[in-house]
This record gives sequence, structure tokens and C-alpha cells, in this order.
Amino acid sequence: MRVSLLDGAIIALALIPLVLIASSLPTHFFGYAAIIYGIFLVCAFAIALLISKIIQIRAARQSIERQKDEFLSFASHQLRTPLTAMRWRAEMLLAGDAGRITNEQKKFVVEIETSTKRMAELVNQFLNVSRINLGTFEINPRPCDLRTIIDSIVRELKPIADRKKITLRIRSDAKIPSITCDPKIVRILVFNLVANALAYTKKGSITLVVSQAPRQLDISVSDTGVGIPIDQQQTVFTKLFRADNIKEMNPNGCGLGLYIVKQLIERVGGTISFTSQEGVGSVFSLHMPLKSIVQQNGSRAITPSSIT
Amino acid sequence: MPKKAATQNKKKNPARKKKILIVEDEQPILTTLELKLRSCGFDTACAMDGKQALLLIQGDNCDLILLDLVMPIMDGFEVLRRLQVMERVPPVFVITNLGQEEDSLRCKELGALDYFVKADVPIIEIIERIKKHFV
Repeated sequence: MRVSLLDGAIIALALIPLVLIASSLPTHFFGYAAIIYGIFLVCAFAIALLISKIIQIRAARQSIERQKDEFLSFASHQLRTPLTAMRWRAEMLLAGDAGRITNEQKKFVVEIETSTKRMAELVNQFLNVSRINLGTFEINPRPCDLRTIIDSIVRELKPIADRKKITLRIRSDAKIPSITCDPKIVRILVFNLVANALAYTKKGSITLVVSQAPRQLDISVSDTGVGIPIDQQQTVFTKLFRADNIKEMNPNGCGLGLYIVKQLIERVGGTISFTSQEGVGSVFSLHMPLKSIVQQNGSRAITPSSIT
Repeated sequence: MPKKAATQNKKKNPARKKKILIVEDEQPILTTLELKLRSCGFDTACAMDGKQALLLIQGDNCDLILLDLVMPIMDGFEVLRRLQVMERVPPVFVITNLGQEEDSLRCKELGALDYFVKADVPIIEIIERIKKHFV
């Protein structure tokens, strides 16, 4: 921490009254009073100086974070551009837009298409993790319609479930209460849990249950999948965690999904819990407050209007 | 407002192919969209920056605009802003690789009808959305 010339000048100015008073009042009593007054002044200025320095450092850090975030946005934009061309062209090849292709060629193109999709998802996940770590992940709580979000997730994942012959069920209270949360976050939370259940279940069913507790909403996703080995259950939410029994099953996973879920649910004032038994299945439950709180994270400034 | 203009066009000349203006600075994406749209029975026009797009919109009678955001000379946000003060503007779907929610909200405030993050959607989804618009 460097003290600038200006800061020095302020301290010198603060000392002037002390010197003046001390020199103009010869008696002991006034001398002491002046010294105490002087010490008080110096302390007050020192504290003010310290606070202004802290504010300056925080502002500088925020500006660095903003710059980092801008770079992230730019990098992900640049990465997505060639990915788009690759993905769309592969889709067009499969759709026969460039003429008929043989079944053998089709297999090759499907592989290209799935890989580009995966790459796009990875870009999104890395971006999310970086923003969570930087504290620049935007959270804007507003009334959100859980039903619509769940329906769109189910619509998106149903084809995968059908392909694996896994039943995907939704059970909910007659009336899902309205919650105030960032819909984008609710989507990430529920999507990750259902997608995980799908990835790690070979046969059986996945059930999504929405139920209301006194002041919270519980969303649980249970599956009849491989489960998590008991000795690895402690580390499920750590970044890059991948259980030993699933690495072969889904080589595409990157161990970020549950980390993102845990970070985000806590950021909106909720919690996540799970029970799992290897070979039987897992149940992951999100406990969300009906009105989400935005947790301050590090130096991230959240505007009062975004806190509901 | 733009919707109305499009329906009027349809009534006047039902046989005419719908013309889609693609505003996109990345050549590979531009040609991909052009190919796909043409194979799906649309007519296309292309612009590689915002300024060029505005000229085409003023002079040409396109039925729908696919607008990229990050472009040289004039970006998509500025195009949307300028379209707001113009009359009988065709509907705009933003197609971009900016994935932030705030960008999408900003575009919708500026009058864009829909917003797609290119890398996250299959090309057919955009085509179907366009077709749905003309139904």
C-alpha cells in the first residue's frame, strides 16, 4: 500500500492544529489537552485514509474482475463462432442438404455433430464456472414459473430417456407455488440434476418431485442408476469430481455439473442434499427458498434492485 | 407493428417467396444460413455489417431479418436502435453468440422478436421459428 503525496499532505495539515495549539498554550493542562486532541486528529485522519485506501483497492479489484469477465465473454463468443459453422454444416449434411450420404458416412458425421454440441456445452460450463469463481455471475431474482421451466427441460431430455428406455416422471403438488428466483439459475439447477440422473442410469426410471415445505420448495430428482460409492460421497460437490464407477459409463462428463449446482443454489440462499446407494440409485434434492436471497460474494457488488 | 406489415405483404402476393435478410459478418455462418434458407424455400439477401444492412432494409422489401450482434462498422444493437425510429420495419430475430441474458433482454427491449445463441441451437430450430412466424 503506497501513500501518495496527497495523503501525506492531508496528514501534515492534520498535524498543523496540534503544533499550533501546543505551542500557543504553555500551561501543562492545555498542553496535554492539545496533545490528546492532536493524537485524536491524527488517528481520525489515519482511519479515514485507511478506509479510502480499502475502497480504492476494492474498486481496482472490481475493475480487474470486470476486465476478466469481459475477456471471458469475448473468448466464449470467439470460440462459439467456428463451432456454430461446424455444428450447422454437420446437421445439414445429416439432413441431406448436400445430397445423400451413406450410412457409414452418416456415422462419421453424427460423431462430428455430437462433438461440436459437447464442445458448445463445455464452453458454457467453463464460462459458468469462471463467472461463479470471479463473482460476476449475474443473479436477477424475479417471479418465475417453475412449471414452464420443468416442462422445457423434460421436453429437451425426453428423447435421450426414450432412447435409453428410461421412464421420466414428474410428480408435483396440485399447485406449484410461485417462487422468486432467477429462472436461468432454476433451469441450470434442475437441468443438471435430471441430465446427471439420465447419464448414470442404465435402466429403470427417473422421478422429479416438486413439493412445498413451510418456507421452501423442494425439488428432488431420484433415479435407479449406478449410485455413488460410499467412500466418494464426501467429494461429490468438489470441482472436477468424477466417481470411479461412472468414468467409463459417461466419458463425456467433465465433473463440473454438481459443482455449479452447489455454488448456484447456495448463492440464491438454498441448499442441496443427497442420498445414494451404489447399484440402487441416488436422490438429489434442492431446497429452495420461496424468495431467493442473493448472497454477496467477495467483492461482487450487487445492486439493491436485484435483491428481492 | 412489424408483424402487421408482414401479414399485409402475404395477402398482397401469396405466391412470392419470403425474403430473409441475413446480417452476419462471419462468412462461414453467412453462407451456411444462406444455403439452408434457400433449400427450405426462402429467398435471401445478405449484409456483412450493420450499415450495409440498414441500406438494404430501406431499399429492399425483405420479410424478415436475421441479425448478428457483434459486427464491424455498425453492430446489431445500433441497427436495432435505428430500426426503432423507422417505419414498416420487418421483424428481427437476433442470431448471435453472445450468451448473456442481459444481451437478450436488451435486444428484446429494442424490439427484436426472438433471440438465438447460435452455437446452442440446431439450425433447423431457427428455420422452424421463421416458418412459424409466417404461418
